[in-house]
Amino acid sequence: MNNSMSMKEDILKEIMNIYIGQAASLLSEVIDKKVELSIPNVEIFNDKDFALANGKIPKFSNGLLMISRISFENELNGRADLIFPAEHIKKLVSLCTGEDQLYEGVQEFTDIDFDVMKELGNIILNSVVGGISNLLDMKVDYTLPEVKIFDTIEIEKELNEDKDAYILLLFVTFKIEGTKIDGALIISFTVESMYDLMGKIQEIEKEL
Amino acid sequence: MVILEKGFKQIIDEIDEGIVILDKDLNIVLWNRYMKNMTNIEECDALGKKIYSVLPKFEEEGIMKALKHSFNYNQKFFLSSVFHDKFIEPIDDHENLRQNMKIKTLTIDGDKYIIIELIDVTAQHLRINQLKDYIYKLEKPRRI
Repeated sequence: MNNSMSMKEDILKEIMNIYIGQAASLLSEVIDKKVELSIPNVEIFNDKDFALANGKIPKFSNGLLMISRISFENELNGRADLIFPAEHIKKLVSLCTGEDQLYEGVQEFTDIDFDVMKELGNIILNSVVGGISNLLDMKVDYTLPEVKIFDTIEIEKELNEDKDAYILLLFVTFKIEGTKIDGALIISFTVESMYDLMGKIQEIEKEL
Repeated sequence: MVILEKGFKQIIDEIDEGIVILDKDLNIVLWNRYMKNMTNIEECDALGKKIYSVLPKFEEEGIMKALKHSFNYNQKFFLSSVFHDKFIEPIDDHENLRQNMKIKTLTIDGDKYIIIELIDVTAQHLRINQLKDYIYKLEKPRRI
C-alpha cells in the first residue's frame, strides 16, 4: 500500500472512530446502559472480489451470525450491515431480561433476540451512516433494519452478491454492561457514493 | 381519495397498534383509539398536550433523544421491549404489557411530524417464557 492510500485509510479510521463513538454514546443514552465501543481495524475493498470467501469475514466466530441490515438512499446510496455472533446476542438478551443459567441450553432464536439485534443495528448503523452523510453534506433516507441469521458460508454468499459495491469494513468490539461482543460493520456504497467519500477524504488530507 | 381523506381517522382507529403523531414541539396532534383503550386517556384530553405530560415515560432522556434525533436527522428508530420497560402506563388488566416502539418522521405541506407506533409484544414474551420453562422442565432430569 502506498503512503497516500495509507494516509487516506488513517483519516477514514479516525473519522469512523468518531462516528462509532457517537453511536456508542447514543446507544448508551437510548438503552440506558453502559456501552463501550472500539474499532480495532478499518479496511476498504475497491475491487469486485470482496473476498469474504477467503475468510476475511467473519474471523471472529465459527458459529451462527446475526446480521442487522439497513438500506440508505437519496444523495448517498448503499447498504450497511452490522454482524454479531448470535451467541453473543443471546448472552446480552439473557443479561437484559434478567435470565440466569436457567435457559443456557436453549439454542433457538426468539423474536426477542431479533428485536435486540434490530435495536442495536438501528442505532449504530444510523449513527455511522448519518455521520458519513453529514461529512459529505448529503441527504440520506434510511430503512428500519431487517434482521437475519446466517452461518458463515451463507453470509459469505450473501455479502458477495454486491459485486458492484465498494465496501468499507470495520471490525468493532462492544461492551454492553460488561458483556463483550465482537462484530463487524460492513458498509457497501455505490461507486458514486464511494467516489464522493474518497474525494472528501482527499480534501481533508490536503488540509493536513 | 376523498373517501380516504374523510376516513383517515377511522382507519387509524381501526389499527391494533398505538399510533401517536407529534408536531415539532412534541405536542400530540393524533391519538388513536388503541391509545385510548390502553391508557383510558380520551383523545380530547391528549390532543395539544406535550407527549411527556400525557405519557411520563417519554420524559426519559433516552426516549427524548430518540425523538429529537428522529426529527432532526430524519432517522427511524426501533426501541425494543427488552431494553425498555413499558412505554405507557396501562390500565389494570394490561399490567404485564410489553411493547416495542417505532419512531419515524413525516412531512406534510412543509411541516414535519413525528409518528410513534407502539406494538404490543406481550403475547410474544409470554409464549417465549412458557416455551423456555417447558424446555427447562424437559431438560431438568438430565441436569441432575
